[in-house]
Amino acid sequence: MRTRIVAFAITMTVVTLTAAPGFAHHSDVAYDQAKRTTLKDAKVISYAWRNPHGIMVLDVKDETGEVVRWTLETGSPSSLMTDGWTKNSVVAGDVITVDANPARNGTKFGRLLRVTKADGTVLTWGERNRASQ
Amino acid sequence: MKTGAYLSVVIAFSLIATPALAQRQQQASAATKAAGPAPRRDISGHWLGPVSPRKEPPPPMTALGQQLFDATKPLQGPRAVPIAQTNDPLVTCNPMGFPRSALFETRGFAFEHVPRRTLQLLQYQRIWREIWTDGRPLPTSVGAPGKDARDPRYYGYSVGTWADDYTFVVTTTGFNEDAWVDERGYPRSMDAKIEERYRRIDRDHLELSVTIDDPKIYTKPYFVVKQVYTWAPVQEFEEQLCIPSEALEYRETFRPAGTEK
Repeated sequence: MRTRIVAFAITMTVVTLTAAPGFAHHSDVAYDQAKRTTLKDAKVISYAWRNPHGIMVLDVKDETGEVVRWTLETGSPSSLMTDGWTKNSVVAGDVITVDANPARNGTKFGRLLRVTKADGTVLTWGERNRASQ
Repeated sequence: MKTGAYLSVVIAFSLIATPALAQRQQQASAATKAAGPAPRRDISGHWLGPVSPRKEPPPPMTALGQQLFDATKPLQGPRAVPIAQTNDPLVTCNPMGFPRSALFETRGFAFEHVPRRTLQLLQYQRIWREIWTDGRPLPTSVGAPGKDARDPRYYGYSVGTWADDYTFVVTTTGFNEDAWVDERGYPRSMDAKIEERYRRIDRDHLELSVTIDDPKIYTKPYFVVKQVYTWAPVQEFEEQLCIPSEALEYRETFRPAGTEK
């Protein structure tokens, strides 16, 4: 019994410590984590699936109908794969809805949180990790 | 707790708190197996851990230590700055050096015991360290003038001994001053002496403790971390590289996001 409790404690410690910082490779201070911006019907112009973080470029119509370009950083390939992404999950030409933490300075940059594809598929980055913190 | 209930909790927790490891490693997780006993004098194999182990706060720094610390602008920790303002060497893929390689990006590493030395292979940047086990002393003239002096290094010079049948102790000295201790920007000097203790708890768990003895920088030895690593179900590395051209593009792309309003 005692051995099992010790083994359980070790496993919990390892899993917890492994999970928590998985998405925190680079600084998040440029982004307002208290805010969540939703970009509806965004057209993917390009998506670079790479280290240290991916770069997703989107064109979105604002409330006046003008097209605005947004650039979002995503996770590294290894961190996204743990969330179920593949290299081809999002590709140029896709029309998607994106949730992101926007830049604090009001520029059209952000940190991607969630993608909802046209077929309803939802992809997240680090959401489960943040929920467990 | 019955075994079945214990395993259910472990599996459920693992699924909720998905670790930052490759999916294959997750799928092959050994969480459902009871760990066997540790083999004697053997830490070889691939081990998995977090991106950034949780670290202890440092002891008070010396005046020089504080001056060097104040000059660093890290991307991580309470002093984090936007990427456009950082002077973290890693932002352009400069070498992490030691002990940062043991304190950051520790998702995968391996040991191999070979004659006269133990090799440590690090997944991030595909780095290797030579840990000499043939009884040689550490060099004493690193950075000194003279033809017999050794050059300071990012990863220093390392020797290893077995403290007991399950604890491998590595001592490293002879550093250059171009690398940080960790992602928070703590410094180390050329005179630092750093000890790693790898204690094999059982077959599947390896505990690492790191202590920095650097009187030029810290007023007392700095016990930095105690972290448990797990046996990798898939005994191979991911390719996890910091690529300078891509890192520069990343920095330049997101530079505007971190500028003042």
